[in-house]
Amino acid sequence: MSVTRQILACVLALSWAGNLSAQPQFRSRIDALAVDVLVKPGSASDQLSQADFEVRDNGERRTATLLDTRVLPINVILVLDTSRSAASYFQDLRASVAQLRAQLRPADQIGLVSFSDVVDVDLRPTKAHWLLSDALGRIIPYGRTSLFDAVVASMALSHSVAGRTLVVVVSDGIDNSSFTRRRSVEAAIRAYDGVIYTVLFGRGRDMDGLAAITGGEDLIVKTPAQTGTVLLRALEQFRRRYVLSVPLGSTAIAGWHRLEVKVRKGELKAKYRSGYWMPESLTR
Amino acid sequence: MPRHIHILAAVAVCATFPVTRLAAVINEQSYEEVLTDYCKGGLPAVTHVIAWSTKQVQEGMRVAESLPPKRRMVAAAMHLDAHSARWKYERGAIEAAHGEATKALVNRMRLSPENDVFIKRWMLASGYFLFEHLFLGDADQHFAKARAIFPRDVDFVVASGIVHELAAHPLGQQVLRGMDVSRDSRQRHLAVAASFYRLAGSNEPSAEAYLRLGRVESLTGNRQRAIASLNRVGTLTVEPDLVYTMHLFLGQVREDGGEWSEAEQHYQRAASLFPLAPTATIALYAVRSIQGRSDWSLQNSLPGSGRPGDDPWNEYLFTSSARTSRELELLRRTSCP
Repeated sequence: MSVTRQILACVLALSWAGNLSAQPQFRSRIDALAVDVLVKPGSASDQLSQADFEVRDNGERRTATLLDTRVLPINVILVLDTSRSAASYFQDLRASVAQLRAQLRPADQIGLVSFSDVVDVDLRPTKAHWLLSDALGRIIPYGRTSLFDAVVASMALSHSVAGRTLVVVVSDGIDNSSFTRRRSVEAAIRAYDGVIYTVLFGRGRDMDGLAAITGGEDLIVKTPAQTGTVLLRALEQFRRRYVLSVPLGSTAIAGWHRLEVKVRKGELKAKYRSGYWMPESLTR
Repeated sequence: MPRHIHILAAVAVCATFPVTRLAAVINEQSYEEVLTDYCKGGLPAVTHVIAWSTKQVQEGMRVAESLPPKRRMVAAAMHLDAHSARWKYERGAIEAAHGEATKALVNRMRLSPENDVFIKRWMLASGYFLFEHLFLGDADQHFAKARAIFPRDVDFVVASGIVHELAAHPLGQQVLRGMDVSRDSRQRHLAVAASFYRLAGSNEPSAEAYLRLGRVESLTGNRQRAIASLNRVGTLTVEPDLVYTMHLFLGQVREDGGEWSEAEQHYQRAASLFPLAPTATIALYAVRSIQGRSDWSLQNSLPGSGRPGDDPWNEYLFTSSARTSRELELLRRTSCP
């Protein structure tokens, strides 16, 4: 289903730029896959064209179409650690989130998931950005850290809206109370079509490598005051990403597909999701 | 945690009282009257007790020691309750004074059939308090003492297993308090936990023992034994909390075997038992995603403001403050006429 939603995103991006429906629609056949690509270093990657990308699906070369997503709204799901360990930096985090909010465009949607002993959906994705301050104001840090549960919940939440989604997980990187195990999160993330960034203010390693599966990054915060800058970096990187529409044709095979994206220009490197799941039901 | 919030609010209010007012409260109301009120309404009925100074607690304790044995039980229960509540608010001399008071009162009690029920309840309530704050070393010794007094009692055997299960969990490993909780010791703790749960099961069929044994077996890779143990839970109880957690664990064991549709069914059954509990919904979403069927409709089931008490998984994992509160309530009822 997530793959189908990507297809929808491609179609919408091509035909309705800037005017996305709030409700996802579903089709019974896979036509194309949207692949978010971050090209690094950023300063040298502003003027790439479709011909600069080479995409392979399970080793087979595919012709990709470069979508112009610059004017399209995005969804941002903030996933905040509100456990006791986060109490010392929470004031700074509130200010940092306000900085991020100021950079959203009117059509962008913002959602908020917080986690401690339990996972709370504090704000479902909305264009009413001002609700974020109210939602944050109600949170009091306490308890343990259900990090993995929250990551899975945020992925589920992001499926309620169409378009590209950035999930930003802010945490000390330690999970100590989730039911979901790391291997299950990792497997679920492989099937996820959004991009996850982790903003780490501690030394925990439980999230190591998970953001990279989606093409995202781990960003380290050394002092609480840096959190705002790092959140903005995640947003700025997400807006700068290229989106490629990769046609799958009639040969789509059920199962895991490994993706490779290369930039054929200078020393530029691409970051992108490691692959995608093709459900059997969608290949018939 | 409405009770927790209630207590915190009460403490906050009491803390603003001038000292003279506090002194007046304890003077106007004799210690005996305080115990009577405690019996009627628990700690919420005598919130000023948690705001007593160390000196006031010690004075109360002196009165308690001169009371008949039955009233001393009430005093022991009340001071343990106050100790637990005070701990959440502020740790220090006052909280310690309540703790010392309750210990001293219980130590003076003689073991007898008449006192056994109270002592058992007291040991369970104070032991769960130790769990709640992850004093695993203290809890281990506490329940070893309890097993020496009540060798056949399943509750204490299971509790001893929980100490080791928690020590093997990342929670225990992060909070080094009096036990070897290094990562290397994880397997050893799990093996000890399993042996306690097996012993409990052989003493008396216990749904909690089989539930926990099933989880420990799955953590040590014994899938078939885990499934057998978890399936026994369903034959022993219909208590929703335990059945919910049983389905969660069966789902996880099935996942380990790549049996996705079976895992999905278990998570679905868990979700139907506690629709407000996010854990089952999250597990269901994950297992569907793993199969390439991310189900966006599940986000509708995620709670806007969940409380740990809404989800039995939290209760299982934390042996939470709710459990301590429940045990304290049972202790009060046992001690009060």
